[in-house]
Amino acid sequence: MAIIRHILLSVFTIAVLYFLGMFVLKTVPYSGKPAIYITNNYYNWKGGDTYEKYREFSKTGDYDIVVAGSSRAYRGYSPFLFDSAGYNCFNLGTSAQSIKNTYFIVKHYLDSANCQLLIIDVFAGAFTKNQLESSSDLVENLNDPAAAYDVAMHNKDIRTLNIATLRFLTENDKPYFSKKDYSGKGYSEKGDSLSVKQQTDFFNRKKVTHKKIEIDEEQIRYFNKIVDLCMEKKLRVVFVYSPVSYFYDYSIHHSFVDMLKPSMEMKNVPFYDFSICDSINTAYHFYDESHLNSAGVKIFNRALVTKLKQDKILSDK
Amino acid sequence: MLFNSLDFFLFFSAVFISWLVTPVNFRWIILLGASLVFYGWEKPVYLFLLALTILITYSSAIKMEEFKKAPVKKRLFLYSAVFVNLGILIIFKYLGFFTDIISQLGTLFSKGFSIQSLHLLLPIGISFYTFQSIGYSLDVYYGLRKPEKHLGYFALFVSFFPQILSGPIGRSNEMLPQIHQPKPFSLNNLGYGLQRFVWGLFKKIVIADRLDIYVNDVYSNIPDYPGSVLWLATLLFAFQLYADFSAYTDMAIGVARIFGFTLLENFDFPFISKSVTEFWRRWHMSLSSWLRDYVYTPIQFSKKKWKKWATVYAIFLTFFICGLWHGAKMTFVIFGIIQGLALMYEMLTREKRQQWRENTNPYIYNSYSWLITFMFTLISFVFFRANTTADAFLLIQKQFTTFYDIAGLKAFMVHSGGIKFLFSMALLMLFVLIDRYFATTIQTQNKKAYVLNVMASVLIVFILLFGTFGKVDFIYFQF
Amino acid sequence: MDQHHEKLTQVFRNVFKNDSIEITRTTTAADIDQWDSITHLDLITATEEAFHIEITGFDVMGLKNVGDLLDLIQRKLED
Repeated sequence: MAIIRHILLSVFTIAVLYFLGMFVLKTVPYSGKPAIYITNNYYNWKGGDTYEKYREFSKTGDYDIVVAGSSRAYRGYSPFLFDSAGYNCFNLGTSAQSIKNTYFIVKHYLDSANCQLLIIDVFAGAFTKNQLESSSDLVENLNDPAAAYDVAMHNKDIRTLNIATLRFLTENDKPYFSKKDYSGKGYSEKGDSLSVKQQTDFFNRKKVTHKKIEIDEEQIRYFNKIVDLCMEKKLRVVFVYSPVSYFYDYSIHHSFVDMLKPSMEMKNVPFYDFSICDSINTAYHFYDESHLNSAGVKIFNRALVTKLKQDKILSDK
Repeated sequence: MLFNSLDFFLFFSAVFISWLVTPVNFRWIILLGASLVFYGWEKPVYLFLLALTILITYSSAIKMEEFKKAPVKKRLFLYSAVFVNLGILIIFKYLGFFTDIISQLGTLFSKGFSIQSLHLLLPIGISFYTFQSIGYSLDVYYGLRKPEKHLGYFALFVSFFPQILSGPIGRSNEMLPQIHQPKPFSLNNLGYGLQRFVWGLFKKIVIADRLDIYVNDVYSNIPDYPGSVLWLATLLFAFQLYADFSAYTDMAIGVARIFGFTLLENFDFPFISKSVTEFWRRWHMSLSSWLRDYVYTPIQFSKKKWKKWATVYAIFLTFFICGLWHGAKMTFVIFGIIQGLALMYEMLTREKRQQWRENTNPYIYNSYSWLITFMFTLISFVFFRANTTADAFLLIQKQFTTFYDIAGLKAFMVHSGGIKFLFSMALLMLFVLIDRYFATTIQTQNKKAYVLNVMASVLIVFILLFGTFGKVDFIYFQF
Repeated sequence: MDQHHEKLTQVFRNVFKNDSIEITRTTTAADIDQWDSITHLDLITATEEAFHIEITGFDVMGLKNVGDLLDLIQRKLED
């Protein structure tokens, strides 16, 4: 059968050339790193805070609080502040973590035994179509291969499969870099405030043009799946919208939150909207357009703990 | 539905299997059903427009045949078919443009003048299938084709899914006989179709969509860049447009061939043209030959007494329409007009240029002709791509004043990713080098089957390794 | 018919300024370098003059090759 012969020839040629190509791109160096990174925008290096924190996290540990979400999570919730309030805390937030990828983190890393309370930081920006940055980071750096390949398979973009191949080929390599501001327990701290220039630029802008955020339906579906997954795992979960700066496009905020409400209300999951927080001031408490600095984190985390205690979600310690 | 999407892959697999298991004489039903699903995929409501085109064109052609001996009535039915098709096109594509122009003219004369601006959502593919239908009506009218009696066959002719969204614009004499005599499944056709499809996919995903990022960046921020960068971006756009549209054509031709249909070719390496006249014989050939047969020739012969000025007049009108066909925007009108002017110049200097050619070293003459033609093409593409006429003029002005700004060019490359940008350029270079060889080899199938298979497999590996995925529409979808 | 063929050959040679042109009933525009949509009009007007007939745009649309043109000439002369 000619057709079978041709299919076999194609599959064989593609497989051989693909792995050969990946191997060459991974082996040939360009300025000290494998040359593959020059071929596309989304290759992430093995290493950095994601690499470190998932190896530091213990699946058999006993955490009072685990935080998940985007960079607004790992820069906005300090485990050390929660620790000093008496709660053992770990932060599993990663760069641009889409809510879909948060689902796979919860699925593979958390259960009612290692985590008493899961805080998921929600942010409209984590609900858009573009998940490649987050997926490639996780596929390359999660220590649990099952989790990494699960993320890769569900991304519906061939590039994540390349990164999965890259992970496979770099399995024995040491991490290529580390991040200076990583402070341990999954948290990254920054002390700086917004520069005067950033602030004056903002107020001098005649018309503020926000980057348009388009909410992707699939992400909403995964948000609902997370709620169900936590119910299934008997994992206590709350969703928190952490404080935003005046750079944030507030016009879409309410309609976005309304999309999340039905499933939270149905399953009785608490939601805390700190997006506008009286004592937080963009000028002093943010280090860039969307991330709190250490002073901001202190105020916000304190307010959050107080609120969670009030509502008896956290017991007094 | 995009050809380069998972949806299309699943859709195609389902259609192909149903087609394969259906007896040859009933396969048109599968293809027609598939075409309607394909066309109505995103907005089913547009199927009503398509049905209107099909029914009116179909029945008026039959009426034309009936009134063969009564020229006035025959003509009336031609007019009604053309009127309905052009009407749909004008209402959906040009109404907003015309009302805007009227309201702008109005405000010139009286301050309080205002008119409701009417911008309707453009149904995709409308410019292609209405032209195909109008061509059919004219073929019947001129007696070049007997009217199609079978409504199902006719509906398939208008809506055949590989070509409905972006052509190639089919002709009655080339498509209808193929629908009447369906070809059985053949391994050769499957191989050819898949190779052609993969070649298109490579051009779209590895070349065009990669270039889109840079072109888009520059064309949205023209004031920020010097002339040197604007030249580079325009050059990249030319290749993007060619790769993008010829990719669509390759995929359409490939898919159609799997079902045994041979569609018209659309591109014949346009950028090697040595004159603008030659360019239009190599670029979007199904549109330019359509315009030649149904617009240019009738106009030219209607003004026959003007001798060569009849040709000049016909060229100008045809390219004005050609520009407008691309979109209801002043930039496209200007694109058409400058193309028309260049063709008029070439037509009027034919003999003089012949003399120059004879008196010059052929190598030098050909090189210069190519260079001038290519530069002209680039400048005309500025109007094709620019968002507004003001943008286009600003861009061209900068192209001629700050073209020497090498530092700015370097800064742009760094800002676009430095080594990553150069890698994209290397891929583009590779494409330019292999384009002719791959396209010709696949089209003529002049190598052994296993060689062709390996060529396609190499392309697939390139797609996997270097593809830019995610939804980027084909440029010609907007027309 | 033959004399039409001969006369038409002469028309072709004059219009395309090439005395070696030979035409048959199956010759098409693709076979003669200079024969394109621009010179087509010259060819038709020269044909009209040579045979003292009038060819309209409508007639022209049906022409696919030299054979069609010869038939058209015949038809026009008979009218």
